[in-house]
Amino acid sequence: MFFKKASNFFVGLPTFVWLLLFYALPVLIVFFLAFKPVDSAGGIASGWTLATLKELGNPNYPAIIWRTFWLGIVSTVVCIAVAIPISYYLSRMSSQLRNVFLMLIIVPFWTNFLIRIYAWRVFLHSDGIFKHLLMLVGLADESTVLLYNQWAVLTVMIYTYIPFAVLPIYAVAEKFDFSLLDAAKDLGAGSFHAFRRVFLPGISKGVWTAVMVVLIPAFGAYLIPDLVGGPTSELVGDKIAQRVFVDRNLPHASALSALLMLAVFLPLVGTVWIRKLKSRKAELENA
Amino acid sequence: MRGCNRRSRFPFCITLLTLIFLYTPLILVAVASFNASKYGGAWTGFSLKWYERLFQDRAIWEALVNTLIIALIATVCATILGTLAALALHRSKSRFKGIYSALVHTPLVVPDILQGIGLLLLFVTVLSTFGEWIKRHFGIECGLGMTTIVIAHITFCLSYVTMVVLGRLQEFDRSMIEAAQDLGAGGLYTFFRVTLPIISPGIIAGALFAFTLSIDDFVITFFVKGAGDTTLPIYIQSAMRRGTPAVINALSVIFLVMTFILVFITQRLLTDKKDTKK
Amino acid sequence: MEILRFENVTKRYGDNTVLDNVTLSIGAGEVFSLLGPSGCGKTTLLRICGGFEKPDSGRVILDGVDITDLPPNRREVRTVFQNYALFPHMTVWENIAFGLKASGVDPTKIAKEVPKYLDLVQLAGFENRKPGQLSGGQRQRVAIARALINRPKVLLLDEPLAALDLKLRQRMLIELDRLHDDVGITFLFVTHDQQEAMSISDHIAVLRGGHVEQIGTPPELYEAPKTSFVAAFIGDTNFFTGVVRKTEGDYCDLEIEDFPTLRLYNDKKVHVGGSVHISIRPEKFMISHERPEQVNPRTNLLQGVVEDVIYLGAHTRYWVRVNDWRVAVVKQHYGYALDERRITWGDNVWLRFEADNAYMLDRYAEADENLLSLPDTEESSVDALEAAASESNAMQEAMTAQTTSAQQ
Repeated sequence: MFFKKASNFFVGLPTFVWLLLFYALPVLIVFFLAFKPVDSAGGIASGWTLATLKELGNPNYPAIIWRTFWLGIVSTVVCIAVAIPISYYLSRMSSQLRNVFLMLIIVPFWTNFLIRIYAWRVFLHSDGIFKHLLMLVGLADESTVLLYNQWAVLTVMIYTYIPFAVLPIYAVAEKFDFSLLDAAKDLGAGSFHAFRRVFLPGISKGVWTAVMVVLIPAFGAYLIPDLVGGPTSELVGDKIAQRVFVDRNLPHASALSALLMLAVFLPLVGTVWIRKLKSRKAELENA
Repeated sequence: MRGCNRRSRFPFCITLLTLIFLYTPLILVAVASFNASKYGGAWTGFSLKWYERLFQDRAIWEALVNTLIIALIATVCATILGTLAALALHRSKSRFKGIYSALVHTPLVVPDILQGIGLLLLFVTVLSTFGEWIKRHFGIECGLGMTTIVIAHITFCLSYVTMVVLGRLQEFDRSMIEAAQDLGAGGLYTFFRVTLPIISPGIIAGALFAFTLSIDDFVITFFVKGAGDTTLPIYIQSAMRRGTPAVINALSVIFLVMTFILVFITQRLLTDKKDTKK
Repeated sequence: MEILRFENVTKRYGDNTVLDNVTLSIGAGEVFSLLGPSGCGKTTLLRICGGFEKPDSGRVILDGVDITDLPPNRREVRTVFQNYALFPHMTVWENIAFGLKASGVDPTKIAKEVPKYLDLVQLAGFENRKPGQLSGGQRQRVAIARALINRPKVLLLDEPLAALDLKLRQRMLIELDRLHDDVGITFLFVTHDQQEAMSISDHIAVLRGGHVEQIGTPPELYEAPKTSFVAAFIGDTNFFTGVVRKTEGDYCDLEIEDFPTLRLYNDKKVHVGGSVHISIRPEKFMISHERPEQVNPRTNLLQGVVEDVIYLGAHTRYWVRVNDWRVAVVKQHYGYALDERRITWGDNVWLRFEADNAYMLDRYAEADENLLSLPDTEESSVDALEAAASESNAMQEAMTAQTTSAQQ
């Protein structure tokens, strides 16, 4: 056989080496550089220091971290809340119509990220049509600024991540056996009750995946606050970029990144671990 | 089946509202691209002047060429590496598989800014350590530039390729390989005549995925690029920092049309595969 | 002449012994079936023959050559997979030609060979279709043609009819029989369906729990089952246990608790006082309202009451209570059934059967009664039927209850 154990090793080797070099190693360096002092020219000096970690005590940071956190959580909750009914609706459609709708959802997902942000800048622009509409209804006046605040950031984040949330939930919902809902109704459950007690548990795996794929990039959001947010809506991602490109303080940037990375990986490892425990428990119960 | 029940209207309304939410800004941009005025606040007449300006703008063309070169190289490399990883993962039964799988799959969820800064730090460290040495021995000037961008793009694209190809491989019936061997085919013959053709729609879909991601990327490129390098997203971003230049409207429309076509092809490839299976 | 032999083949998965020291000999040109419930090891044996599994010990000999360690692509056997495993990206023509191309046969020869096999399986005109555009029966014929084109020494068929519906299954069975006559290649046929095995095979090996229960021609297995498992798995039967009270030449009188004494042909030469288990097939009983005329002293006559009736068209099944026993009886309808005075629930009837038509078993396990279509044990249920079909440990233990004491 071509793919015996040994040859399988060689098939997998190039990618392994590549990822070790350009993915695992950078992650390690991020943690590593957080303990290095910065030199005056914007490079990295020799020796070790804890000074960078102490700088994380910067009085501006708690507010930024808190903002990153709540914007991430709120946009995730909204995206999931919208994605569940959409997935339900899509998976009950006739297959031809479903493909059309699915494509409509996917296209924004594939559209260039910058163009999506750009579209919002045009949409919310002070000379834009949306503001004119609001002024007509009396909800805004000439001085209202729709852009450059955290509500604009939140809106664009939700806009960006909705397709991320729909796809994994839909993938699971599509395989859901809808006769179970009929069975639940047949047994006397109301529509909502059946939806909550039968459909939601049935798609829980997809929901968890959706939470992960929305929450994690949301924590790392950088471009959205940079382009539609203002000075009062900075997130951790902006700070990292600022430390790199403005201050040339790489150790500080990597200390912030390490913090962010922990915030991303801990829930990830946590959910994987909980899932494993659950499946092991189920196995034990079955045995 | 659906729609006859009063309560089932709710999912429909949400879907419709979401689609409106998703498309209103995009449609607005498309309309604005034909508007003689700058912001679409008022319609001052149909015009193609933004498209004209777009095609005359040499900086955009340069950025486009860079983007395409990077995307092509990154796609080819990422597709090869990603497919190899998928094949290895699919067949492996070793204890090592867990680590390998984590290494391939976690980049999918790591925020791009972290990948960007990690790679930047790696490149900076390597260049500051070995840059002088390489320059002395090989006479090559090393710095951030197209090469580092391409390396970064390969890295974040290949995980997506692996994910798509692995999905195809898992649907792939193992008895196909047994049947080929049973009929006297050796390992290589089986691989090239049976395995590869059957998973090829997955590979192509993965490659299209990688291509789109590469064209789309701003954050990672921004971190690892050299001083003078521009790609389209970099160009759009710097233009946006200066304001909202209306040429971008025209550029957006061209991008949107290209996206539609690409998504359409990808969907076709993936659904065709399913049809022949039935 | 022998073409294929399994010698002491053993296969384990962890603690689970799937094949336990199996030895089989398959003659050239015959249709040999491996028959047994799921989990009996028949598919594993086939996969060992195809080269997809390695036995833990034992040998596989093909035409005098030890092929145990050869990879699948270097064995002169071909497999028809249960799901056919046709290559979806190739046309019918390319699928059939695959084996020849893979072994580097000259293209002009391939162009000559493929149409022959298309004709053989009656698929001429379909060569440019893809497998996705074929019906189940057509796909199967492609799979067979693809496997036959290399002219293997043995064709392995893994439940080839399981994916087809009943009528198509019967047609394909006849088709397979015709193909076998045409090509003269040995068929090794794996099935769990006793009717399939009976109708196509020259010999059948009944497998159970990883070992061979009995090998024989279909009539041998049906008429002379060695164990209660074979008797119950192939067709339906009645089991009785009794003690020999009297012998008279080749015959003996068997005393059965709460049942009339039966006169039987004593083929095991059991002595007076020996205990014995017998199997009597339902159709060996003749059922009637009137007392039959006793033809000779070897005819047994029993009286009973009809408890259940299942009309099946060609024949009717009855369950008749005789003292404490429920006896399964099958009556074939020779005449116009509507004109008959129907035997129905609660009727008093006579059962008659000849001493020569019962068969003494070597081995008996009470659990095997669960395989019967309507067992008369108290706890009988569908669950019990499934439990009996899968090889549960409880059954293995029950197997130890053997009747060797009855023999000399």
